[in-house]
Parts: sequence; C-alpha cells; structure tokens
Amino acid sequence: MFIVNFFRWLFGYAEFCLKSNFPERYLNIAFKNGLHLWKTKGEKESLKGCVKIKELNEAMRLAQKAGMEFEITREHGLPYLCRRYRKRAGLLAGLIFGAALSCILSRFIWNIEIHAPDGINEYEIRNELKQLGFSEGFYYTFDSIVDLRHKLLIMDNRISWMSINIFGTNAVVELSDRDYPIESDKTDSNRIGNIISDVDGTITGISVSKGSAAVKIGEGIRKGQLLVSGIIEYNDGTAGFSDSSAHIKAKTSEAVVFRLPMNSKCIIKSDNAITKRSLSFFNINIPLTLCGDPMGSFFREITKKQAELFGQGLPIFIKEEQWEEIGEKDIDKTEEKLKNILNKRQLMYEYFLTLEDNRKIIKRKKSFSKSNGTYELKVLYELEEEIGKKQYVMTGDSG
Amino acid sequence: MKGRLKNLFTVDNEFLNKVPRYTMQMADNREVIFEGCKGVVEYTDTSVKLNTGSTIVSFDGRGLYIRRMTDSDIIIGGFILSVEFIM
Repeated sequence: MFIVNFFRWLFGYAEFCLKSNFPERYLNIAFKNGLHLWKTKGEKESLKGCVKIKELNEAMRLAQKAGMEFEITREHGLPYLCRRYRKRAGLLAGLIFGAALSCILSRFIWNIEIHAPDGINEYEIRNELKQLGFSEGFYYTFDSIVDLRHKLLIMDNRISWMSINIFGTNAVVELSDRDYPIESDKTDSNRIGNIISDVDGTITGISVSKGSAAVKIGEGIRKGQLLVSGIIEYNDGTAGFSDSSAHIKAKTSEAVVFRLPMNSKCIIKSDNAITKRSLSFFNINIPLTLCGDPMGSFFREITKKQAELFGQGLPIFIKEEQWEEIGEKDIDKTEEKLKNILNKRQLMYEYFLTLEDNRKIIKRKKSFSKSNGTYELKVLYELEEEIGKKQYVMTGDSG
Repeated sequence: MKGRLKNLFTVDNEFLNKVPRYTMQMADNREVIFEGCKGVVEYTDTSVKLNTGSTIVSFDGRGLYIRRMTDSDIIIGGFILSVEFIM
C-alpha cells in the first residue's frame, strides 16, 4: 500500500467534495467513464473522495454535465509542491547543488580499511598505497582501482592476491600473502661442485647424498677445507664429475664478549612538556594550538585519532604531538646490576643464536671481569652446527 | 447435416439460466466483493444499495465505504450488519 500511496503522491491528487441531492449518480457516471476515485465517503447530499490530478479536469467536467457542485478541498503531491515553490529559485538551486555535491563527494575515498594477514604490516601497505596516490581524499574510478591493484601487486612481492572493495566512500583492502615454495636440496647436474668447511671444528656427523666424502667423523677440520668432493672415483678406475650434496655437522667453538660501562649516562624526561594539536582533513592540517616547534632536545610522541560517526570512520583526524624535554644524567651501576643486565643480554644472544638453522649450544663457559671502567662478560660457547658451504669448480663449458 | 451444425452452436437455455447475474464474495462481515453491479443507488456510511438490473442488493452497517469500483465490479468495506435483497 505504501508504494500505491507514494505513486499517488508523486503524480499528485486532489480531495474533492461534491454537493448534490443524489451524489450516487456521480459515482455511477464516474466509474462508467473509467475515472479512478478512492477514499470515497458518502454523506447526506454530499460525496467526498480523492481523484488523480490527471483525471481532475474530467471529474469536474462530468460533475458540471450532471449539474453538481464540485469543489476541490485539498491538494496533495509533488506537482502541487513544485507549483507552490516555483518562485523560490534558490531552493531549487540549493537542491540541485546539494545533490551534485553529494554525487561528487561520494566519488572520493573517505576512509581506508586494510585487512592484512599476519605476515604483512598494515602500516607498510598504507604507506605503499600512499606512494601510489591512494590515500584519504582519493578520487576513484573503476579503472583507477584496477590499475592501483596491479601496481601494488607488482610493487610488493609479498602480496599474492588483493582486492579493493568500495562501499560508498569507504575502501576495504583485502590482502593475501604469498606462499613461497619450500626449497628442496636441489643439485645442478651441469655443474661440478664441492662442499667446503665454513668454520674450524671437529666433525660429528656426515650424511652425503651426492659426491664423495673427503673427511671422517672425529677429524679436525680448518676453515676452507674440502669436506665433500664433486669428483667421484669408480671401482673400474674411471672418474666422474657431479655436483655434491651433503649435510656435515661439526663441533665448533665461539667466544662472545658482552661489555657495559660502569658509569653510564642515562637519558631522562624532564617535566617540561608541550602539547601541540592539529586537525587533519583530507590531508590538510589545521593547527589547533598556536606554538612552533620547541628548540633543544625533545622527545616527540605523535598520536593520531580518527573521528567516527556511528562506528564508521570519517576522514577527519586529530593529531596530538607531545614534546617532552630530555636531558642526560650520570648513573653509577652496582656490580650486581651490571651482572643482571649482561646475563639478560647473553640470554637474548642465545635466543637469536638458536633461531638460526642447525645451530645447537652444547656447552658454555662464563666469566666476568673488570677492565678500564667497563664490566665484561666473556662466554665461550661449544656448538654443534652445519658447516658445509658449496663451492663450484670453474669448468670450460660453465657459463 | 444442417441440423447437426445448428445443434453444435446452440447454447442450452438451461445452461444460460444457471449462469448467475451477480455474485458476492464476503470476507467476514468486513468486506464484500460484488460482481455484476450496474450502479449505486444509495451510498451513505450506514447503507449502500446496489443495482443489479433485476434486484437491488442493500448492505446496512457502520462506516461503510466503497473501496474500489469499476463499471461492473465493486468492493465495499466497513462493518456490515445485514444484506437485503429488494425485488
């Protein structure tokens, strides 16, 4: 019913009151002539109802023909509204301007939302998009979005798939990271390759899949020594050349020294702090506080807050800069404190050491010492690691 | 042959007598769809009288109104209390 009422309002209709001794006669005539009347209400010697603006003249003509008094009591709908405001050109101009402004502004991106997988930083993607010109206030077309997508896929190798979906003035960027193939232990059949030692140590394990081993378990080796040869001697006395592939494990040692000055200077924040605020709208910064950048050594912290409306981000940002004055202060550290810090550094080093492939700590020896105002921690590590390094032999036909 | 063709295209009088001149379909006592109306004789909010050619059908009630009307059909809405056939 709403649709019917809406179309009646759109095309316009009038309420009428018909005065006659026999109003039913008008009903019969009207319906016989195909007039569309509704909300008809019969009263004593009168009839009320509604008629379309298009059929109003016909309804009046029929009433006149039947000798009845036809009176329009009220007018409804858009045509009457337009007629009423036809002299107010400013209203129409405002309406057109508003509609045009709404159409133009809806072609701009107001808010960019990035859904990046764990391996890809959202901030980096935002910066890359900014470099390509896609930021708040970007005027978009279908072609520009497709072009942008291709450019970013070429620019960032980590992305395997991406889409930019536009919802009104919001752009949602969806990304998928690339799955790299697992590197297999491949060998090049056209090249002759040896495996040599990368460090000094004692062999603890040999596993040769291609080539012939030149060392044995328990042998001591030097850096650069041949471990697996690409020249293979067969039982019949002949020799062949091939690329070599092997896993050689050896016991190695490594000495690491961690140092800390006993008297150190520390940077501390003072109470002197300045707060600067600015309003950012479509990349235009409007300062809200009237003060310049302070002189001297300051620590600056920037926070950016986005304005929201009904949970929807708007392209309005409030940028707050906190400038805090910093100064240096001498601090004397106790031996206990220095030991603690050095121990923590050593643990951190060991964590990163074991993150490397095929490196395992077998033993460690620690010693603390003081020298020239510094406190030292010397750690001697005994490791088990993969020591093989590929070395290709130059041949006449190799590129 | 001629007699057979005549029989084929002759409509039985009995069949014609069975076709109603007007039909009424009532939804409770709130609405009536009337087919075969030849005009409105009386129209007030308490009474609507319809001409069917041979009979006048009178609907009495409260708040009666014509919802929709064409040259042969009419829909009457309102609270219908009685239906009367005036011959």
